[in-house]
Amino acid sequence: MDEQQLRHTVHRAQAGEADAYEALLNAYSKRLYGYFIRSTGRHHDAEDLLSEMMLKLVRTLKNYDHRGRFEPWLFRIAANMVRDRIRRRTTRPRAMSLSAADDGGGSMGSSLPAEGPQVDAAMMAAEASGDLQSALAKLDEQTRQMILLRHFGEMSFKDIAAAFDCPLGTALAKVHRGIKQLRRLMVEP
Amino acid sequence: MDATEQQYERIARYLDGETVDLTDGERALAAEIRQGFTALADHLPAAPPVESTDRARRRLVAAVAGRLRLRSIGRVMAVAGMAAAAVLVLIGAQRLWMPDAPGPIAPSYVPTAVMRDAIENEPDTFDVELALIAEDVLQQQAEFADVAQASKPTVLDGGLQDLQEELDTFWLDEQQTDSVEQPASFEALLIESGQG
Repeated sequence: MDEQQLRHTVHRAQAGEADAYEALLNAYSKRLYGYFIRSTGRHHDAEDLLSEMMLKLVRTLKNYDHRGRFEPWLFRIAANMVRDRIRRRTTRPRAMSLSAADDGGGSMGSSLPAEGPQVDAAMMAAEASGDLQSALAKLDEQTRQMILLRHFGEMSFKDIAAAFDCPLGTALAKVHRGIKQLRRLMVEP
Repeated sequence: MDATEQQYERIARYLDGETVDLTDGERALAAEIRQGFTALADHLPAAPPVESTDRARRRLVAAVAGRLRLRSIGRVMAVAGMAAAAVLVLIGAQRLWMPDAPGPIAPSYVPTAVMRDAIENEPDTFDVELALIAEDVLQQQAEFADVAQASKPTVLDGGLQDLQEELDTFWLDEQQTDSVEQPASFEALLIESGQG
């Protein structure tokens, strides 16, 4: 979907046309699901989050104006949902609500652990298949999110730095270290 | 190579598409990061199972339909509220403009009553010609009402009818019982008298 088509589709969706929402789902479901499953490591969570994401889109699309790019806006909401899901999983491992707490675009840096033990590394390692998922699970949460948002959401480093409330140089330094770590982990699991 | 915070910032802006004059070392680091993402792109994507997308689609369609329903109900209520408010404003405006007006639906007898009032109570101030016309109208109305009310035959009507019947019977009896000559026509009388 090119920029003009996207603008038109978003406009139609804002007017309440169901087929425009479906077009957005078709265009972004693969990237969103990929982001969700690589972030949570679990198909069940990724499927839930994809459905929730679509409902949230219906509620929040009216607030979107096309001055910025659609993907960063969309994936910033997705990142907040992942953050809430992981936080809930950490505090109440067995109780999960289907509703996300907020999508106001607040800083994720304050709520995600920058360093330290991986809160869901064990779960991810247990459910994940493939070396890449295991390697991702070994990254700290913030670094993993930055890499995934850059890849799936095509977010600029400037947007990523803003989302995590950190300086631009720091954001790229983390991403660089994360990529090197992933390569090493994938070669030597 | 690792870089300083400032160098990473310049590289980040370069990778975001800005025009930044990088050193060779910075350019090499930018290429390394770009290559790292290219390598990941082969492994990161994970297609959603069809049932996951279908489930999301069903929930999406239901949510959009629900939202549209709510919007329609809200619109109908808003229109009804606006219509009610407009009616109230119109009634208020009418009361302000015509404080003596009897109301939105005026009965047909009111103009007559108003005229009668004017004739009886304010003869000096009321226009004389209009008063005469009004009296005329009242009289006409009264006569019309009398005629309209007389739908069954009165005693006088009955008497006239009887008289007519007697007259008819009289002429009939005369023809049958007596051989009295019928009066000649006016032309025949003229011929007989020799004037024709």
